[in-house]
Amino acid sequence: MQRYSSAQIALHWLIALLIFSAFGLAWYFGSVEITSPATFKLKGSLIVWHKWVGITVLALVLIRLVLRVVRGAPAALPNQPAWQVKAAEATHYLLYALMVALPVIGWLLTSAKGYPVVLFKLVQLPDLVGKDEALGKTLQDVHEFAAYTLLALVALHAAAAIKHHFIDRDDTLKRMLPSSSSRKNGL
Amino acid sequence: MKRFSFNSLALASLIAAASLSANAATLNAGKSQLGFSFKQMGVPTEGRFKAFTANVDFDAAKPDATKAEFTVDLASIDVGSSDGNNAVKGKDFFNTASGPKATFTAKSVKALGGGKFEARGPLTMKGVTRDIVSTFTAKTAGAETTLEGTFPLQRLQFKIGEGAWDDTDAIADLVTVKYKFVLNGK
Repeated sequence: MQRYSSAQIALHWLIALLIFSAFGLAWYFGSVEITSPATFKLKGSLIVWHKWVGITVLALVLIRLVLRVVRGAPAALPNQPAWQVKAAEATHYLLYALMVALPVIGWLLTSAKGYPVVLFKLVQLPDLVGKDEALGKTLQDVHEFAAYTLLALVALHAAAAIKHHFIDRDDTLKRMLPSSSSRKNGL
Repeated sequence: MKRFSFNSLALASLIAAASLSANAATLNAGKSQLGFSFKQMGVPTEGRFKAFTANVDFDAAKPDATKAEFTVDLASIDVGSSDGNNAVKGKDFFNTASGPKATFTAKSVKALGGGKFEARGPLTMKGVTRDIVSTFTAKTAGAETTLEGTFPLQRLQFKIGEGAWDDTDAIADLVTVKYKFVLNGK
């Protein structure tokens, strides 16, 4: 069985974890109403963390794209229906596209709203656009729409992996699992 | 045509003010800016006041003779979002309902050389008066003089952010005020 490289596997799961964290943070700060200094601070911290997670995803995805080009990906297992191979490929490309686009749109929207990203409280990233409240609102809608599109694709991607693993009982998912756990599975 | 009559009233009072103090230049409100920057959650944020008036008699050759008074309509604050604007007009911050204005009077202005000047005087806001010091540059082109400068202030000295809003991790104490006043006529 041809496996993804260990760097690709590590990045895949790390990015997955970060994407779920970004959703969790966004849902949490979306539910916090500022009514006091404490809620102001809570919401502010959650937003700041959400931005850090998003920019980290952007950086890691760019590394992943380079690895993808350099190391490629294992071919699909033999005897898979052609439409499924095509659908999987299309989903992967859309996932890559959205993993790049979402943080970039987020960065644009926070620039438009006049709140720059100060990564890990250390480095202030340049504003991608000037302050424009209306543009900020539009970009926020686009950001949310793209986020739910990403979520739907992640669900499809995960459902397919689970189907291969537990119903087809093939090696599709194992190619993206660390080799030690796949050895155990291989018993 | 209520709007029209308000405008002509404002114009009339402007003309009256200008003719009363013959030496003072008039503020070109369209070209002038009064902004500030501060940090919230460590993130630099910009804001501004949209309405302010000035009565300035400034001559770069005789800075000692400067007379300058500024009045800021605090309710014209814009911190970038409508929620934020409503919050900062409230009791814990500017409390614009009971104290709608901030005033600054230049008590002394001296030349620092190289087109730079230093103004000193009391700033009154939310019932608190503190002396501030600001360095600025003055550039004259024809009948237009542009004064541009900054000064730091500590918001907590002026009770901007009372109670638990004094948390400077959430909103930093230091606020840097930036201004550009364009004066017409002399």
